[in-house]
Amino acid sequence: MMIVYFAVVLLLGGAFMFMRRSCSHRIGTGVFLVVQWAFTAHEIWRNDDALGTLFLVILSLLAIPACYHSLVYLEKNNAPMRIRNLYLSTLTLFCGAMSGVYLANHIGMTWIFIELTTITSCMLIYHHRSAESLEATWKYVFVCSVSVAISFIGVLFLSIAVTKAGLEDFTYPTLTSHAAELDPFWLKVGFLFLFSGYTVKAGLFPMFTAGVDAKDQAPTPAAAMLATCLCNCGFVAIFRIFRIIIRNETGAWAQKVLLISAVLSVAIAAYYMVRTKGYKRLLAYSGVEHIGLATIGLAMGGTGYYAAVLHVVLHSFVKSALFFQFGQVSYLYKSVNRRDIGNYFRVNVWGGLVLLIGFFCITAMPPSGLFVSESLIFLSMIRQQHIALMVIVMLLLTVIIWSLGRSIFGLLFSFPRMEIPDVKRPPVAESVSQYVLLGLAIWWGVYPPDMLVRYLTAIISGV
Amino acid sequence: MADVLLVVFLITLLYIGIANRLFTYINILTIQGIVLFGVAYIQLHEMNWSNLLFVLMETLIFKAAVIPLFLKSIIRKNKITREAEPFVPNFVSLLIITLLLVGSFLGAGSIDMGDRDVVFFAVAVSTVFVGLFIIISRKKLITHVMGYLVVENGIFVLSLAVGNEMPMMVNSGILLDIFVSILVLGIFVNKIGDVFKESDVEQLSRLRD
Repeated sequence: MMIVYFAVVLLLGGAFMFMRRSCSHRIGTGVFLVVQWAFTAHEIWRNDDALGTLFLVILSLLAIPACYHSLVYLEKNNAPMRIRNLYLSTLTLFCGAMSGVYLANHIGMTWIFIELTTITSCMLIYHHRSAESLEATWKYVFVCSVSVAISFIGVLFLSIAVTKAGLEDFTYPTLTSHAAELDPFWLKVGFLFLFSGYTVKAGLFPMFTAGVDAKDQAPTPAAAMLATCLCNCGFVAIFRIFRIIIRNETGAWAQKVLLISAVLSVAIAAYYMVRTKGYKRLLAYSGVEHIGLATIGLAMGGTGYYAAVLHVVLHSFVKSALFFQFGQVSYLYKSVNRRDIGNYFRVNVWGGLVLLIGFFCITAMPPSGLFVSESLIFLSMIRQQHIALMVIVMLLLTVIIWSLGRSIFGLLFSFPRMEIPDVKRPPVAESVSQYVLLGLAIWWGVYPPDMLVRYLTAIISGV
Repeated sequence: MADVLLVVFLITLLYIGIANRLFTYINILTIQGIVLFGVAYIQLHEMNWSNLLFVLMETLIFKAAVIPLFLKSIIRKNKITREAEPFVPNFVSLLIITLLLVGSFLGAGSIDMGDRDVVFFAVAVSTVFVGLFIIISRKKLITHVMGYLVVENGIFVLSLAVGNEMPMMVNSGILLDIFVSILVLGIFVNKIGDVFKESDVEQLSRLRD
């Protein structure tokens, strides 16, 4: 089934390149969504790996608004047909590659699909064909290639540990069940390389830089996918390795590594969110912060695992909603610079309301679902006696909330320095998807459906 | 025999530190590809056609022929100046690379490797480090790609040292991914050459906070 899915996605990606009219684009994306959901339904029915299936469901959910907003975006910006074809083709392949990362069962396969996400996303980032997008794409592709090469060194080191233990199988279930027999030294080295390589996708310290530039330059629907589903790819890859090492005697050491990287990520996000002037960069750094918080949850263990996965899931909904809304903002003002734009509430009431609700959701204020997951993360920190660290993280979060508030309230209520260009106001229909996503983030956090709880418990029972 | 080839491989690393011209870099990469074929051929545990084909594809065809030709065509097309333009003098480069080699050998010697070959391991680790050093110490984007290729060569030696026992499908997927990523990097060097007139890192400083 998996092979059929990839073959169809590959065919669709190729077919997009030969399309001449925008109605065939609509049909093509429709077919893609049907295929994606059929595959997701099959995976849910197969019920093999809870972690992969949960994130596949999130990807398929987010693919619907992403495809819709992509079509709207391409239509509004009146891009040449060749560039539209390339965009939709790579978007399809990108989604396929990310599905592969979630479901990959073999360490090498995860690596292959992670590298594929780099290759397929580069044309999405380069979509504008400007000097800035070229710079972002180059940096992204190069930093990703080198980091993923580093994680391959990790795979090789890990394979020393595996062969030493007399195993021949590199699939995750085998490795997790035999984790205690693996040689601690090689496992440590392998984990360090794998983790630092995959941080480029997750957007954690040390390799977060390239991702920020990429999310800044990519068109907003693509940036939404980069900031949510791709970060989830990195998170899933790290979580799978972590599930192996935590069962070994070096588990406590690995938790320390995660904790250092996570706290530094939150600190760096706080620093740059105060400095940055672009809204898309602000959202990208906010992603660094949230994945950092989720990683703190992983490092704490216990309730932390539950909170971490829940946090990443809910963050995907909120962050993508905000990115989709900033698509309208950048269309209206032709800029996403904090100094240039403002008075958004008057310009676009329904869109402004999305930003307002989105602000409360992303800063984890009740009733946002992120409030639940964040407080669970802090609870697990208290349980593990990391009180001083918790205070530091909370202070950093205060800075982050302040800089998000300054930017988003400035956009909503202040008067812009620049004249608002005279363009047609976007219809309310373009904001509907964001209300749905924010609603999901609140609903799944406050009153999680049985299905989600079942998946989450299955995931944490595997740790 | 494998050790002799590995020493030749190490010499190419030292040579890349003092090479001045881009074409010399590419020729060194070609030599490395051929040497790696020799090493991999000797190391082959079992002589079946699929292993042989894989090694042949990866070393002789990709590393020694296709990629060097591709890089040469990029340099010609973009009229990139033929000097490598390092940030540090050649002598310092040579010194640092020597230190990296010595450090890797000392480090590898102190690890309990079991029945694995320490020489392979040390060569692999030092190659990775030298590749990373080439990336950070050279100004041109095309030399960054070459540094990345040196890192990939190091990883190839490491996979020989480890006795990589991945299934064939995984191996070929990895090979294909690396190949495509190098093509993509090359294409973007082309684009950058079109937009910025010169393709070096100083042009890429617009995006910042």
